[in-house]
Amino acid sequence: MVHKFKWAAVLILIAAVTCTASISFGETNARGLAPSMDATYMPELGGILNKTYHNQYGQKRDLSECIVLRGSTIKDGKAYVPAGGLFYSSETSYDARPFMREPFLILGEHAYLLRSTHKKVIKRNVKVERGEKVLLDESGYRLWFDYATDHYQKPYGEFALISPSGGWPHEWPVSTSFPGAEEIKKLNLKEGIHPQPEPFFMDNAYLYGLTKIVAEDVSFDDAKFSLVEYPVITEVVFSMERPWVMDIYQESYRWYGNKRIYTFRKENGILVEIRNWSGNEVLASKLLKPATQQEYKTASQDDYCLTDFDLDIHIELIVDPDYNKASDFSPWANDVPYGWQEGTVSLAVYNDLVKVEDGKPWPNDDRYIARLEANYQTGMLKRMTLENRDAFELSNDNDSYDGPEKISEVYDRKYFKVVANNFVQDKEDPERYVVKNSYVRDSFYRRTDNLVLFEEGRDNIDFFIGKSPLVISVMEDSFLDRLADPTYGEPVVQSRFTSYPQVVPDAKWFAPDPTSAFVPRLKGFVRKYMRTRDRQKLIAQETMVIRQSYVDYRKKEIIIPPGGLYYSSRDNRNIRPGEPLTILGKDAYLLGFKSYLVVKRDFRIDLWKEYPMGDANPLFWQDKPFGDGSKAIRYMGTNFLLGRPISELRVTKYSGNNWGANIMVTHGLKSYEDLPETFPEEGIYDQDFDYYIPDVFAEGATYLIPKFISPDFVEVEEMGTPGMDEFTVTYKKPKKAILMEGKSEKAGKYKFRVDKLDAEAKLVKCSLVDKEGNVVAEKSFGPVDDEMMNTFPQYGPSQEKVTMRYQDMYITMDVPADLSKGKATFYIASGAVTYKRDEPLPGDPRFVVKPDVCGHCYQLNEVLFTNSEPIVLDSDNPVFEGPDGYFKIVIDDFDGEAVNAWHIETVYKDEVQKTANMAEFKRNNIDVMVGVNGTVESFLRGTVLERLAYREVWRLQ
Amino acid sequence: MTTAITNGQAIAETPTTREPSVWSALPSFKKSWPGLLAMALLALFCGLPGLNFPLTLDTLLHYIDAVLPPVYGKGFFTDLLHMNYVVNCLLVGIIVRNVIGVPNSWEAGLTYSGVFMNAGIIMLGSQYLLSDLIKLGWVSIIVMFFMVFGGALIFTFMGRLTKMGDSMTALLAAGFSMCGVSACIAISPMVRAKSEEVAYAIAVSVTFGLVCLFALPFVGHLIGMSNDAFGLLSAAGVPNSNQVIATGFNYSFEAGRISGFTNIGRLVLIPGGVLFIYFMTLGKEIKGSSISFWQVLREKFPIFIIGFAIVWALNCMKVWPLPASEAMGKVMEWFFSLSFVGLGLLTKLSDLRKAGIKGIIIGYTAGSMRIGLCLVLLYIIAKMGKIVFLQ
Repeated sequence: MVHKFKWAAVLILIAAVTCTASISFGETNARGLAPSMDATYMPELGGILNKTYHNQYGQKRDLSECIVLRGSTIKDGKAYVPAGGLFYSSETSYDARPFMREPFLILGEHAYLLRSTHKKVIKRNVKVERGEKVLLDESGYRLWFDYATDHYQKPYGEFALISPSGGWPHEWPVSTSFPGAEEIKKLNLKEGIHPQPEPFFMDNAYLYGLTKIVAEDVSFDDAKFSLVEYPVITEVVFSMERPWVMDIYQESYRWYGNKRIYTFRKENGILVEIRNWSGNEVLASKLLKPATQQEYKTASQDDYCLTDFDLDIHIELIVDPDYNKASDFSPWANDVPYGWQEGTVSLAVYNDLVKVEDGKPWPNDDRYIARLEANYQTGMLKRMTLENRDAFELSNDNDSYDGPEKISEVYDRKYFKVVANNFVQDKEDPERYVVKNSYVRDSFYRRTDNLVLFEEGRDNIDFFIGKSPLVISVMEDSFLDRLADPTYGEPVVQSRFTSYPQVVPDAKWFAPDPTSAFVPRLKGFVRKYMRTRDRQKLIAQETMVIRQSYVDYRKKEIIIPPGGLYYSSRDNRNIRPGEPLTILGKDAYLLGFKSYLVVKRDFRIDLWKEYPMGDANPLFWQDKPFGDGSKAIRYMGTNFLLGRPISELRVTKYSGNNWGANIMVTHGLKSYEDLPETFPEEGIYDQDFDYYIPDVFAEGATYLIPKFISPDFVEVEEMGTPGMDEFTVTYKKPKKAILMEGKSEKAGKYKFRVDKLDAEAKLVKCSLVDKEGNVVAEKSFGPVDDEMMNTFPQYGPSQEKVTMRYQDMYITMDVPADLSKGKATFYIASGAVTYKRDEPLPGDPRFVVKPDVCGHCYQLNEVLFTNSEPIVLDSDNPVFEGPDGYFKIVIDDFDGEAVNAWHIETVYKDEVQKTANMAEFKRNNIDVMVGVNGTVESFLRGTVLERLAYREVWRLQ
Repeated sequence: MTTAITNGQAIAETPTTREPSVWSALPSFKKSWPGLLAMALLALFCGLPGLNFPLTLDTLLHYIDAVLPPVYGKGFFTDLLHMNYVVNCLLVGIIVRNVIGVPNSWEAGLTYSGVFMNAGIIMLGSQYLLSDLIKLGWVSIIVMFFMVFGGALIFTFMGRLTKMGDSMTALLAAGFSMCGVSACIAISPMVRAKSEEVAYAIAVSVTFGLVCLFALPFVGHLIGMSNDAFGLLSAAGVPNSNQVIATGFNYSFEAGRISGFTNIGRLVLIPGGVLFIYFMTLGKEIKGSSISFWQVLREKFPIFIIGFAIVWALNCMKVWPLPASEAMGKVMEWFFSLSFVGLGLLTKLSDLRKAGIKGIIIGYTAGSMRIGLCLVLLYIIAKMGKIVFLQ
């Protein structure tokens, strides 16, 4: 559908031009890059599959396919797509391993992974600039330096290793300026509250199973890595058929087509022979060992299977056919596994073998190159892509390009076709051509809607089609713009009405309903640039969130539990003393805070599992509260490497938002201290499956030392993370005063005087004098020496050295201070207001204050004001005012069971601003997110695939 | 009079008098099963809602729609031609009857289609909530109220002017004033419409909606209507829901959204509108007869309408939870599928031809008049400053 949405189009166009300039004009290798910012996302096309299957061991595998086009440009009425620009991708939810009957989709066909050949790539001395996605090799692996931030004025960066398809698991923090994670073991703190320790922990290496990056130098603008190592798969063998499960008496045979298969027991395995129809000629034979699910078998796959491409046969021994009962390919069984009493040998016999080699043509269509991408952690097959080998052009005369040809049981056919036509000259700029019609057809000729959604046309034909998790990482740069795009209003999902409402006594740690509406912009909630004293640009962002609300249809009430409604204010990074923020629309300046380290010892965390509530909202009961309960530790998931459970934990904040770092630990694998002194030369090596996962986690101020890790729980020896009791702000802009010795400046009803300035000792002695000339307070600022500066501004005691407090006044000396000219700069703030944790909000006791501290650096991260008592809304009481009347929740139509119409409203410049109806489809809760900041972004990121997909449903409704 | 065999001797039984019931008029199951089975199988082929049987007409139409380019985001057959389970069942029934023929053994079973229809209509009451009107805002409520009841009056007037049959007039009035197919279904047994009349009325309303899809946006752009005004116009003037939304989107995205949202009002008013048309038809009958209103009502008022009204009222009072309403909706769809296959199997094309083009002319004329009336109404409301009429 084509629509005219001028300003949205202009915004996206500007973003596209600025952010993808490198793709459009300079970049010729599209591999590893994302489609353009205005690429159309369509979640569905009939032939692009999403399936859930199980492997031999009953483990669930969510399989998904997608088609992506990236890096295209339009010139002279033709769309140019570079080599690797168009690709089909098929991936599994975790990974696919040999000998496990791992299902995989290949161009819509249900296939099984049989064998894989593994290598590792080592890159040395990789340099990358901030913001750059540097190409590691021509196949498309890239290292991305997303951003750098500072602690103690020293840099640390967030990096991602991007695969050719554009996928990456998560960002990895690395720094060369701080003590490594292993150092945390020396702290050995007792359980309880501790003052902020000086060290900040961050390693120069990130260890992720078979992938590791080791930094030599990380600065704010660039980074150099001495080692980048990642696993690759050079070859895989699939079977396009379901296997035959064959039971054969020892020393005997069974027919397989026109061949006989014999089995003989030997002292070190089973000899399997394939003979011709008469049994006289041995066509193939091999001594096989029974294969079990330990992935270390992948290192010696030849021992466990007989593969013969000439005979088109692959045979494995099944140790225990009973395992088959959970798999998709044979009926479930009970009783003693068949064969145990009869002495038969169970074989899995596969045919229709397809060998796929990385970087080589797809067997059925040499216009496409196959790429095999490994799970960075396990090294096993994660994704297979088929990308166009040569660049191609589409024009009005030649408007289609076929996708790869599939291998089908019925007839081999092109899996899809990309069509683009109606290329026209732009009316305003005759040099510029745009496309007005573009779509994709599947192998059954079904098509997408026109992928050009704007009447003005587009200057590329990039797209992403399919509900694949790959979209999450590929669309990382543009997902927020996409979800905040106002063209189609705010999508509302109809609630699932179940018999019982979800009732929680307290909403802390919970996220909003994943189907809650998201209002990106509502005038009245501040989102603006603010400058720090050193002219850095920060973005002050206010939001409000409602979570865990529900309709109690028995009482005909809408309930928001305690903690269910909160106002949140954050800057785009943590807020340090002296820096600006906004609180309920007013500009404020942070003066100070009380933060500390909370240590918890010897406790156990159970693995988090979603309890089936039926409405997509999880229920947490295994979380362990931390300190005052503002945070909790949650065991998110577990997987295995070499039989060792790898635990993945997260610190969940009061707001329900997870702290950014992934806490991943295990025992028994290699850790930081096992990294070699010197690394091998750059090249491709055989994979040795030498897994590196640390046995300790330390990132910034948060750390965890496990005692015992099991798949079901983690026993923690010691864990620490920061907490915050209070913060102090002023709503009056602090006054700047440059003073020489003996000079003074008015400070409220007092005078602030510099008594002595000692440039050599880097000390400034000052006093506060009342009208009568009496000294009411004294402070010796400094010494502003290297010791202090090395821990400034995040270290509390260093902040104390340059801060003077008296009554409601905060006076801070600006650092770094050049005292050699006999002058010092001060900021004099008065009207300090202190907000204390869990205490009523001054002026509105219905709300309590919940300051949130940065898990890295002890600074103020977020200001939350939340309801301490349940909020009850019904037809008699349909309006609730937020803190200090900053916003209103208005229920327009509620019938006791479903909310039919409601909105949020604010007052901006004396005008009432309203959101659209947040229940255009019936809702049984009023969960919502208004505005964008880090907290909301995190919630959106967790549901990005569903939200992006739903926007298309919403558009067509 | 029946006989029973006892000890080899036939004994004559005296005839018994029974209270007449809806079931007593129906043939026995033994006689009816071939027809019932045929209805069930044909309904299954058409695509019974909730069943994942893949080889259905519904699947085929969805496939064809997926192959063809979408028209303003909508499928041509399933959305724009409104070929849902009702239309498909009716069409397949008509085709079977008129191309292959219906064996005599089916006839008895086909009489059950009326019962299925009545049962479906009772369930239909669970799909409407009067409270849905509230969220539309009073401008939309007025427009919808006026267009539903005013539209019905226009059609009744036109029907009487041209001496079109009462049942056909009622069907067209319902089909055009409210949601085309659903309203036709609801009114048909009340006015004792023949199957061919139902098919005819549905065809007229669907083709008129198709014309509106392209003509209305043209008119809207010619006048320079605002998105709000056009959204209301398409919701009030176009007969079928999907056509309403597609017409709105044909104009602009905003207009599409508004039309989709406002369309709810028309759906909610179906029960009231249908009863309104029914009583108008009944009024004419009373006028033409010597018996009293209450006598006519007692003799001719369909009992199932009481069931429909009760279910609707209970639903509006939220006596049962939403999942129950959804389940009743599914049951309703099954009843209607079976019923419309039956109706189709009873429809002779020759009878349909007898209806002539009078119905089409009246439908198109009165439908256009409704749109004109709606434009005037919107203009008046705009003059009052409540909506913006022109861009």
